[in-house]
Amino acid sequence: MAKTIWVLVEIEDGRPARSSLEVLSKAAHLGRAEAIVLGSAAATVAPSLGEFGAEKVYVHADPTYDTYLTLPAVDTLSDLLQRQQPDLLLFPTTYDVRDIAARLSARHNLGLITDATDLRYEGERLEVTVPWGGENVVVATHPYQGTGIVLARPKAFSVERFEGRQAEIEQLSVTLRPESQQMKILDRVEVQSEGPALEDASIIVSGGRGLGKPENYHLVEELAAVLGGAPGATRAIVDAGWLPYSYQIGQTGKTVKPTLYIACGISGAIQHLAGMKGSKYIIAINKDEHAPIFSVADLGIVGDVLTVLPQLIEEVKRRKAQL
Amino acid sequence: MRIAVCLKQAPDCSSVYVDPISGEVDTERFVQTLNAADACALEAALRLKEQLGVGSVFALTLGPGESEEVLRVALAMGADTIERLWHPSAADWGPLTIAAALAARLRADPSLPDLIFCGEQSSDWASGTVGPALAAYLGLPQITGVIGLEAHQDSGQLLLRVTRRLERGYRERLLARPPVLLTVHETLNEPRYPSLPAHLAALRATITVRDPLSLPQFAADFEAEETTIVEVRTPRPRPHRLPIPDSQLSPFERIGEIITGGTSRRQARLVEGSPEELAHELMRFLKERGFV
Repeated sequence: MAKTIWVLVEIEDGRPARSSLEVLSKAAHLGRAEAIVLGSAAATVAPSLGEFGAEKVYVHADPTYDTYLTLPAVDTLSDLLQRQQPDLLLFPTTYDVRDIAARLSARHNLGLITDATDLRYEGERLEVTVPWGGENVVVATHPYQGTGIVLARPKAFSVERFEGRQAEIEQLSVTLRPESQQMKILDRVEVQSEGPALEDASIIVSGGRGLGKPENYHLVEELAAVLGGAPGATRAIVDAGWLPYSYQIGQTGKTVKPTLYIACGISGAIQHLAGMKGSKYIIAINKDEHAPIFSVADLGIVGDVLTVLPQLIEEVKRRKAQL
Repeated sequence: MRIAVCLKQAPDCSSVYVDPISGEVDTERFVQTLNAADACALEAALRLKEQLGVGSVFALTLGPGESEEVLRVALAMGADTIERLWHPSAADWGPLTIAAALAARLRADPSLPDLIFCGEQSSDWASGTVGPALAAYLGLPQITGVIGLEAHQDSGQLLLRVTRRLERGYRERLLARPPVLLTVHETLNEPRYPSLPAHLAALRATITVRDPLSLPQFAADFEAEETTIVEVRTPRPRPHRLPIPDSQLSPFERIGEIITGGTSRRQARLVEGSPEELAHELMRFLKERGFV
């Protein structure tokens, strides 16, 4: 009998969150994956989930979840659990989903395993790999326990496409309990923290000492903005206090792998290269033709960033205006 | 204002030693201390009490005799009352059973505290689920991962302005009124150092110990959380194919290639010229690959 596995899919900027899709793909390999999507964007997100492995999608397109997810989601899942007995709830580890999983397991006495990096069924027994210290510990649950919850570590699984799979969609008619909405939480504002989302950017424009002084860093930001990318920096200028640490790329900063990396005024210290040489295309702009950065670049521009960048920004803007 | 703080004794992060060869954590070297996030939770509770000028802070832990140390620290820092829960079988309890035990203890009082503080997660297991599960058992809402907390008086009622950490560097700001449970991230504040006299006084304090199994409201399903360890293995590092460094290179560069993972060298096409020509060349590259 194929195991039925529920995956709670979170919505991020109107799209299913990557962490949820990773888990959905894994669930589809383990058995019959059923997704649960909550919130006003749920109805638009739901049809696309078949392609990521869902056989069935439960939808509750209520805007209540948009402003506060945890308690209403627990109620809805709880309600659904009273009608059906899935074998497993496999959820991504995010702050909200972790809270939901904990509350749900407390309410229904469901076993909860957190931080899973792998899981598989060995007959009726579920075996979950959990890293502890420097070791991987494989723990098994007992069949008599019934439904359980496993929280998967982000990036433990990859997102896969199940071409042509169509998910059956079921609209849930749950009445959200007023107590869960009368949460003493009156206001919810999302503010992005300082610094760029470097890990997710497909284009990164990064600056180094060659920019000369902090005032010139705006050229890097402008180029990043016109190309729709994120600005980054080397340790040299972060240490010099031009920018916060969140911008730093390299061995002691972030490791990035964008499609395009433009290094502006970066000589290419080994520690910096370690953080960016996996990029698909690398363009380096530097005055010194012997700079090590050119040894990892696809295109090396030997010139002064301060004169080349304004020219390039103009050209890109002109090009964008034409299109 | 009655505030309860749940504390746990956990290994100090700086005492964690991983054997470089076996990859195993040397648990013998652990120095047990008050879990960092829990210390921040206690500090937040004490600051709130001081700001309001009234109220009491009750520090609670579930742990063996050694963990009384964290209660003495709590007392020295300024907690009004302390209590330890323990039963020999609790060493094997998972987060849910622990949360159920803490809930049973808090329910044993005539009324629930107005605020409950917990650390977001412990330095050892870090499941981060005891806080929200405790909130569920007590029927309270929770705010987890608190990194900012301000208290205001709003027409005689306490209003908390809370900042919470989310994924991808996002923050969530909320307004909350008691009763609520907060789990605190270890960056919220800098816990105070108790004075020596306070420390000495705390050493002499007698600590009430209760058996959670004797608490009337303790209803845990011990079977739900049971797991069996099937296998423990040390993960091997992923093998990495390294190209042989180019013998033409200087030793510095060869070592550099090896330690940076040594992907094959790219052949950069170097272009020189006037800024206009260079910008033009750049544009051609970007256009050819569809970036603009």
